Amino acid sequence: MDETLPRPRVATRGAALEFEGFFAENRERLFRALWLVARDRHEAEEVAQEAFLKVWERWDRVEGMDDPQGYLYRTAFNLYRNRRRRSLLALRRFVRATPAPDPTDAVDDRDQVVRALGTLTPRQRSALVLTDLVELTSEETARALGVRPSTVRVLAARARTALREEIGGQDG
Amino acid sequence: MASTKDLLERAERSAPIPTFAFDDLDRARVRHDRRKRIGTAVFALALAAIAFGSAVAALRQPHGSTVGSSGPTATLPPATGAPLVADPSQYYYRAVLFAYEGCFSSGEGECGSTGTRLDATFWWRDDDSGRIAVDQKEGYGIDAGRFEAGTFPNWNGIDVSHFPLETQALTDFLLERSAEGGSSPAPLVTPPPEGAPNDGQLWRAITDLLVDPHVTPTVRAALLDVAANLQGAHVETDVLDPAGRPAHAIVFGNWGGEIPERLYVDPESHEVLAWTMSSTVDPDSFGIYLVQDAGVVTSTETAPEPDEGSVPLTLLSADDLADLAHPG
Repeated sequence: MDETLPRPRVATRGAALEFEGFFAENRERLFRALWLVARDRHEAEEVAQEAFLKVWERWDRVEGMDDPQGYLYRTAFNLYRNRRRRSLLALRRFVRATPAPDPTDAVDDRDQVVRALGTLTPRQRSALVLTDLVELTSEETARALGVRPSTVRVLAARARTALREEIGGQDG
Repeated sequence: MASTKDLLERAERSAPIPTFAFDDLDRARVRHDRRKRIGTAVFALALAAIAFGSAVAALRQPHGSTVGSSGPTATLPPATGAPLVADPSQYYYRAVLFAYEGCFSSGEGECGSTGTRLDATFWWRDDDSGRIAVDQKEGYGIDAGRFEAGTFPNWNGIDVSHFPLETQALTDFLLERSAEGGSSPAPLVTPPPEGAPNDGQLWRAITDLLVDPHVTPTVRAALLDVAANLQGAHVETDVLDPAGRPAHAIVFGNWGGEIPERLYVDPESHEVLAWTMSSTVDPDSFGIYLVQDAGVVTSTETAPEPDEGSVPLTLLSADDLADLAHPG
């Protein structure tokens, strides 16, 4: 994705202020999207911060892009995907005590939709949140999730169906 | 029925309020820049063939490698700075890595688990509150969490407030504490041929304490003095630790010399930088414990500010440690 970036410019104080504005504009929304997918407050905060940090490092180039927000979400979901992969690998190999769940990490399942989202796979949740909530295109979502655009469309479609069935089931 | 977007927006409203602010990001960026600066210097050193060769040789050979070393000595040169002491409201911070593979028993004891990796950060303060963050854990039993006063996990039941700090007094105290029937019996370890009968017991008691988050930098410095003064130990000055940081090394040949262990000490703060073990019987076995960063902080969300850490920061990962032990 770097080949599409404009030439670097010299970072200025003005650029820092612009980034601060970008941060303020996107902080809560990015965190919420990550929270819906990760279902873990700390994980969502850490990934969001890391993503903002990465964008800030390359702000002189990112601010000139057509869609800096899309770049932020792609960065964040790439980071989340990598962290999750690493956690799964560690989980498969760990042989001793299983960590006790931290009650402060649990998502608020009182909301019916949040509860229904919990029945989807992480990839389905990611595809659904990025396409239907953040409104990235299939192509942008595919870059964030490391899959093909056609896979995104399948994941999102299945997620929509499952979500509606789940909510319908709960209603009934 | 509402659209998926409407449903997701409804779900989104259940999200908690994020706690991180721009200032947090700014601090993280400063730390990140610092890591990059120091990392560049460390890697320039550590990745260079000479430095890497030195570090690996130090890990693999009983007497390690020295860089302009003044040779083995009996005592640790005095620290050039004082150990950090936290106020009651502050936390001792330590980010550590651990990698361990193989079998160190040479048929006489238990084998360690294979492929152990740990990347963890500890914040601990005097009221026994704090936090443990675990970024990587394979084959290692530790749980992340945040702990109210009096609830920080204390696996070894350690309270260092009554530990004497004078070398001979601390030696006597540790001998009594680690003896069979003492409050923390140390496993039987055969000392090197030149060692005193109790050397192995003391060495293991000291290394157990050095990696425990309840042990303060002041007590660690005192423990290192005891280790350096063991009859079977010797000190090498001006060496490099496995991450390429300047250090003194306390060398001890466990299991009658078959398992050389090295404690790397920061010359300035007398903080532990690393603890390594290798095997003269099985060259594929290794254990490395490495302190990435250490210091005193005011919150369980922060790391030491630039230039406030008590050890030079390193950017290595637990997997890097394994690569160091098995180059190529």
